Amino acid sequence: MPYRILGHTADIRLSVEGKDLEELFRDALKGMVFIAGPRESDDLKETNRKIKLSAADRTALLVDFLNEVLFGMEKNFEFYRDIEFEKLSPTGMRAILKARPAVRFERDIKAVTYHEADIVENENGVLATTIIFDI
Amino acid sequence: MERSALRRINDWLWEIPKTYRSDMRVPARVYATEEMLDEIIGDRSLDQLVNVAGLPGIVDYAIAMPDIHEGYGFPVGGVAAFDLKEGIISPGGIGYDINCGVRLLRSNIDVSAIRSVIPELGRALYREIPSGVGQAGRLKLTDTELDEVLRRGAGRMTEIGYGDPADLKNCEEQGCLAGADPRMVSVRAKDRGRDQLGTIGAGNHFVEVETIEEIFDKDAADKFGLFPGQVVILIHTGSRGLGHQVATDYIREMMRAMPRHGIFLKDRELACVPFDSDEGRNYFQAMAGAANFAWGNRELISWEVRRAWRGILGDGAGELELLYDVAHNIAKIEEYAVSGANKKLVIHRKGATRSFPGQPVLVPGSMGTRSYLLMGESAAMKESFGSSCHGAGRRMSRTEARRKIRGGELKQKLSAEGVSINAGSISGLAEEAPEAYKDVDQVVDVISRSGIAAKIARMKPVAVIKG
Repeated sequence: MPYRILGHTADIRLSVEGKDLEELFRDALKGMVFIAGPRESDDLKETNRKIKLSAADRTALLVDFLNEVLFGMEKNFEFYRDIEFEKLSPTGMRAILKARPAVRFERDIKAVTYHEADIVENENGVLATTIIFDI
Repeated sequence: MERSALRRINDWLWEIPKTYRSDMRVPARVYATEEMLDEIIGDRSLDQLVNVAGLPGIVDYAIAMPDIHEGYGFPVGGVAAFDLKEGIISPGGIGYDINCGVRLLRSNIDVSAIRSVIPELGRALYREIPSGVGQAGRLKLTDTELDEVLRRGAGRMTEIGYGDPADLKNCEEQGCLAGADPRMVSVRAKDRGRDQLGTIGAGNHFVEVETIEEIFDKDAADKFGLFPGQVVILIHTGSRGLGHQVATDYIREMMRAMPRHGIFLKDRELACVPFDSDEGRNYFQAMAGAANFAWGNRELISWEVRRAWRGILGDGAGELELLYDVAHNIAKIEEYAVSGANKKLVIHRKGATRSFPGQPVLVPGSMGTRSYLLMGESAAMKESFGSSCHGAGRRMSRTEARRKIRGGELKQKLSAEGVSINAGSISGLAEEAPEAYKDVDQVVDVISRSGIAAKIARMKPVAVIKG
């Protein structure tokens, strides 16, 4: 399982792992889309959404990336099936999100928070972090 | 946190001394009974409160209300006051949903007169008030129109015909927090909020039709125009995507600015800057704009509620008057006695309600349980920076609630108990089940015994509208 939902009294705590930064970011995206719970439209048309970000470090970049995803989901009423990275470093990324229209979302994610977010290499030698979503 | 870290002050107040952790600048205080404390210790909320107690310029105590639970950065149910010169302002101490709050509309009729049409009224409210994720409202504002709402809040809605001017005198700050500057709100935040006025969203937000089940103080109830059996309507929502984005934008900006101000924190979600700094002033002006958007939102929802009310009950049912509207996620500049002298402070309330003496304090429970109307008392000014609890407070995680509770069964059970449910998401309904919340009676008892606010009336729901 690329991600796990852990307990949190009011919000949602996501645990995510990846063998490298690209896998970690992709799995975090999948976890977030799972939490939002989109119902797919019959229209399977896929749209490419370009994304370009910079941040102070890899943890801030991941949170900023997920907040960018949240803005896109809310503004365009779509969800992201996958992502293609053109460039990904600890302080910057350029990528294309594969967007599909949604009919509705199960949950209203208010924001992706920095609380507890800290990308570290765990005992299994993979990158891991926790992300808390404000619901 | 171990139970032994807390020192008992009295039956409803506990203190974590400053010596508990070396970075604490003030002690932390928790309003709770011993029984409630056992549950509070079960999550990380008190550790989060201790983190708050270490922030620069904090005055007297970091305070937790009895509905405290784990949040992100600051705990939910937290109050903290900071010196205007030496202290900070932190978006995490207010929350992403800036000016999430509650308002109570009062009818003049007894529930027995409309009992047969309550399910129909619930459906009409559900149709009239957009709810759920991404549901647009009836207005799509231009930049200029949106800026006017950010500047003037509920008052602007009444000017353009979507509210009642008489409501304003019964809103905290008359529905408009001074100092808002729409230029400090990003284009992205405005884009998120542009079509969301008059919508409740999802999660724990709701509109409920309730009846007054019990009056505790007849004189105060008379003053507020309340009587047993009366139909009232409770609205709970905030600044929607606009407020969420303001918080996101400024947390990011403050993280970059903190080293310049010599502030280094373990938890980035506590990101803060001196209140008396360019970044601090900019955030306060943007936050005030988002707070005003929330007051505009609740005013437009009230207009929608009144439309549904008239549509189902006709003119014979009378008007719905605003009893009060309070914020429970906000920062305000207020004056308190500190070390014998009056001093202006920036009060952070995250999941806490203003509770000035004589002021109505609204405490929603959960659907299927009771909600309360309290009235602020003098101890709040001496002990809790004029603040009270904001609700029952969650006790069960959303994933556990989904695992244990079936939304469809819950809807049937509540219906059998006389609560008509209209919800966009049945699984989302399970997350908001009464079992997921603390016992609101216990929470309110602590507030009442502490002298922060007195019990005036208890309400029970008869129709619930959720996204």
